[in-house]
Amino acid sequence: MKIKKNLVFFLTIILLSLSLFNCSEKKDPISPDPPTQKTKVRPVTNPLAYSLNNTSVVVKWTKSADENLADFDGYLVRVLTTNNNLVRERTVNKTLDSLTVTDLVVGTIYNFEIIAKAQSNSTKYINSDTVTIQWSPAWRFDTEGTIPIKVYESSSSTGFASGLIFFNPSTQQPKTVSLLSADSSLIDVYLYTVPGTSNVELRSSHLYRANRKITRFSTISYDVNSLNDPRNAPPDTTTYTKFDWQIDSVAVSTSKVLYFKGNNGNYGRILIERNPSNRTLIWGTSPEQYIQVRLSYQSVPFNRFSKQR
Amino acid sequence: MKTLLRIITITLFFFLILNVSSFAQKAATITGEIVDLKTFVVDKIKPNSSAGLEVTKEGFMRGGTFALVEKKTNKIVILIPSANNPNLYSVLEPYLGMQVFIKGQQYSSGGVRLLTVDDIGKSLK
Repeated sequence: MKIKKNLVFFLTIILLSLSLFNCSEKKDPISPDPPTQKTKVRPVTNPLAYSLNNTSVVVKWTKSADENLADFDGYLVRVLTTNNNLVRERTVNKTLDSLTVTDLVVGTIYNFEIIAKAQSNSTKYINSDTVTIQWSPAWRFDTEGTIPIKVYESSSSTGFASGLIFFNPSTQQPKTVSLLSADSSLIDVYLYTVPGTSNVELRSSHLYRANRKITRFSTISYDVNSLNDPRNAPPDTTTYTKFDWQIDSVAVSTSKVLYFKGNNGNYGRILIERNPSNRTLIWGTSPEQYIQVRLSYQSVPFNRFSKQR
Repeated sequence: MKTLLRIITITLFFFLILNVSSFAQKAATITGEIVDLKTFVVDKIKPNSSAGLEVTKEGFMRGGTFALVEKKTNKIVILIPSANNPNLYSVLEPYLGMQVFIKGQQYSSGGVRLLTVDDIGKSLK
């Protein structure tokens, strides 16, 4: 009898529960609408970056296609180490499409996450998916001390600097030297005069003397006027296969950026500036022609994110 | 004989003209140190120290004369702007206090030498 009573009690409870759940699924005309599914705003596309100097990286993107929404609230850039530690967060107004991230550490690789934001009280939208680009700050050298970096062709006399040291350890900056100077063992590249022509070649130092430093150039180069040249990635490490790069005495419309890998695995970029007087990449007159360059240099070896170093 | 003399005279004349004109203007590369003429000649100061650099720059700012003390002869060459680069101070200022070579056209007259600054670089000599 007692068992029967209990059974009836449990069955009643179950039926009551079922009827209650059933009721909750029915729309109550008085209660508010149930929350609808929010839509993610569309993310940024085409993330790009370049290192501005040894502590700063510029991140750039194509703006979200949802920028015109009333609930759109700009962008959030999160800076993380490769171990996923958050270093910094910055918000950017929706009219902008780039951010200079400062106070970074040279040679450290960072993940830059870009998120298109919806207003926090938006009833329709939520933040976009994250778009990530990896980059690293690198040194930037526009001059050698105070003077422009000029590398003279090898046919010039010894008073002219035909050798270039990318990063002189004692001065922590580039140095131009004579090919036979006391520092000649530190020379990374030199400017070779192509016989019988007005052309020159930027060559690895070991092509001058076999025991000197070896520099490899990437097969990839860009015709641009500045090292502030955002890219989605640096050239692949397998592209660094050239020991020289010929610079013809022909008119060009822009300067040129070459990518190099130094003797100790330090990556970098070299901007060969266009001479507006003769519209070529070569300055001066034979036999003392020269190229005028600017450098981006990654002082931490084997970090190819040295663009615009 | 008269004709021969005439020929010799005319040849000599053209030789002199050509010779003088080639001395008047020629391409040259001169190595030395940039100075402000008054600061160097009157005060004997070169811009090879921080104080000397300051005084030299001040001299230039006050309308001084750009000059090069030639390394080989210790003689003074007055520097003038080239047609391509009229702002001489901006061209020379980064090179103050160092040995430089300057390439340009050299003009000589009355013992004074002028050199256009067509190109400049640090000298390793």
